[in-house]
Amino acid sequence: MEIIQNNSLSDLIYLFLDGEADSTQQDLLFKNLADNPELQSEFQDAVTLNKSLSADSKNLVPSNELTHNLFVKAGFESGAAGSGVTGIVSETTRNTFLSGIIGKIKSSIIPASIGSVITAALLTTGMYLLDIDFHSDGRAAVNQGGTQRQAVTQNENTIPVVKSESVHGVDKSNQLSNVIRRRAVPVFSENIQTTPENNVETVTENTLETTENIPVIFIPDIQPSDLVQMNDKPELSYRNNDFIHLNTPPSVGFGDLSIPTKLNVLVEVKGINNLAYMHQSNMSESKVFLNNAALNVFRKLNDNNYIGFSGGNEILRMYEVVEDSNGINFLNQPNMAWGGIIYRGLSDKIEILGNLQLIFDCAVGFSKLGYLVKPVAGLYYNPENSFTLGLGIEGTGLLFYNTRSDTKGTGKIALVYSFGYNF
Amino acid sequence: MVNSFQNTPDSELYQYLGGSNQDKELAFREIYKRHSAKVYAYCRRVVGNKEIAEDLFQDTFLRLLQSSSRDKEMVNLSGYIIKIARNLCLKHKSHQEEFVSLEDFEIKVEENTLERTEVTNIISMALELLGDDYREALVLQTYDELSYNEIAEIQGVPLTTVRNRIVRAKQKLREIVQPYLADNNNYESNGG
Repeated sequence: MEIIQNNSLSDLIYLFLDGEADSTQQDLLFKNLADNPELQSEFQDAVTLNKSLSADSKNLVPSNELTHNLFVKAGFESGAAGSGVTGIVSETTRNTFLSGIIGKIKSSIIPASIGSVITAALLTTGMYLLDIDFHSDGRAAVNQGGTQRQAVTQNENTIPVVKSESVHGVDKSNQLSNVIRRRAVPVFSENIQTTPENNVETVTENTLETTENIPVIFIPDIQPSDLVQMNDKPELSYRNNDFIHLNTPPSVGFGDLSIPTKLNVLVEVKGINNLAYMHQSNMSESKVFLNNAALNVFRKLNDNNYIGFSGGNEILRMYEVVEDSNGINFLNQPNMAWGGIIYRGLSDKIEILGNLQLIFDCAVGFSKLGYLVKPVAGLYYNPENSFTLGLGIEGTGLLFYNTRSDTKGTGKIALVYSFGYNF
Repeated sequence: MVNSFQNTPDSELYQYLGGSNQDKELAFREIYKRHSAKVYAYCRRVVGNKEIAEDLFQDTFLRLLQSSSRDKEMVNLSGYIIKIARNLCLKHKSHQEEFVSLEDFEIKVEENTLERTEVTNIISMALELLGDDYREALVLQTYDELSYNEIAEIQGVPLTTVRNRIVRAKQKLREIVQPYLADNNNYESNGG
């Protein structure tokens, strides 16, 4: 009733036409409409206004060119041509807009149609000779065995025609407003031309897509800060809602609006706690949690494979041979900087382990004392593709270092723990 | 090309955007089919300038694509896309200059010549005379077919505010275009 108190009868007209007036408000409106010519005039204007707004909305559909450009920008190489979204023009628009320009292009349609027929014939013949078959998803492929020889005279994939006239949300089917508010019905079709003579839609072009690999989408000019974050502007926050799509699960909000990781680069620091050495000796080493450290920089190839660079510092139980003017000396447990390349393999997330992943690293590097091989096996925690935690056992082998003795290699086993971040 | 996602709910389509390249493209096409008209209408009528609106329209879908992730649960894709479009439009409006350039005016005149009738022409121009909040509420209600409750959710204001905005916007529109509406009504009542 607050509307009645705060708004005039004029307001009720618009509320009624929008399907937002309750029965009391409707009764009040019609009671006054009966003997109020001014209100009747406004009612008629409001109906016309709604019709005009509806008509305007029907004209507002993205053009084929705009759609195509978007698909190209999105990294879909075929653009909109293979997408089934060209011709995204409502029937009403087609009838009005196209009829206005159809005369201008009439002369070009017939040659285009003839050209399309010839093209289709050539494609058909070519595919027959080359033994090309169409998959159900529309891509062409050469038959391996040549047993499924099939001529394709028409793109067998019918483009979906979407004619949804449903008004989402509140059911207003019993109200006048619903009739007025029903909007444009987009019709999606692929490569369709309408001839003015018979108004028949004909497919004039077949599109062969020969690539399966769509490039990774990079749009560098879009920054996360471009999105207005909910926390920054509470007035923009989207609260829980359950409207529009009734087939969606209970609402929990929109989720994160931020842009996900784009660089696919993982930077990780690793602590190394030495556990055991190949060549036990009387060399002593303080028992600290962090004996050595390393830095890994990975490029993420996919969810399970990374490759990158690794480097760090190691202390092994060995002697470095130092030769100077005083003769030969042995440097006890020298610090040994090393660097190299590293591969990381990850399993899928394992639910019974709390979505932990198995991890396998293998680094191969160089140091002034020889070559290093450092395999690691362990567990990996990467909950949101942002920060990561790792824990594992690392073996280190140092090969061919110069001891001037019979020992040409040594090694150790260590507990390693890592912290990383995905950029 | 057969789109295997024709019957797939929006929530699943969104997750496919974070999947393999083939799934991503098919899902994107289907999402575009379902929602592009509303997003386009919103951008066009809220921003006014056709070229800018089309840029924002494209950005909206590109950002949708970029924001996708298998791990995110999407419960209201339509509202989410409108929300992205709204954020972009708000951001644009916050940076745009206060005056209307001659080029903008010329574009409006040119674009209107083919597409619309006289009354819808006038209405689309009259829309630009409304305040931003009023125009947006009207566009969401009329062009995007959202209910008052849905608009209240998107604009983050009480339902009564939305009611007032839409009713005032329509009253203002009627005031602006009334001479043309009268002609139109007379024409229709005379059997035209």
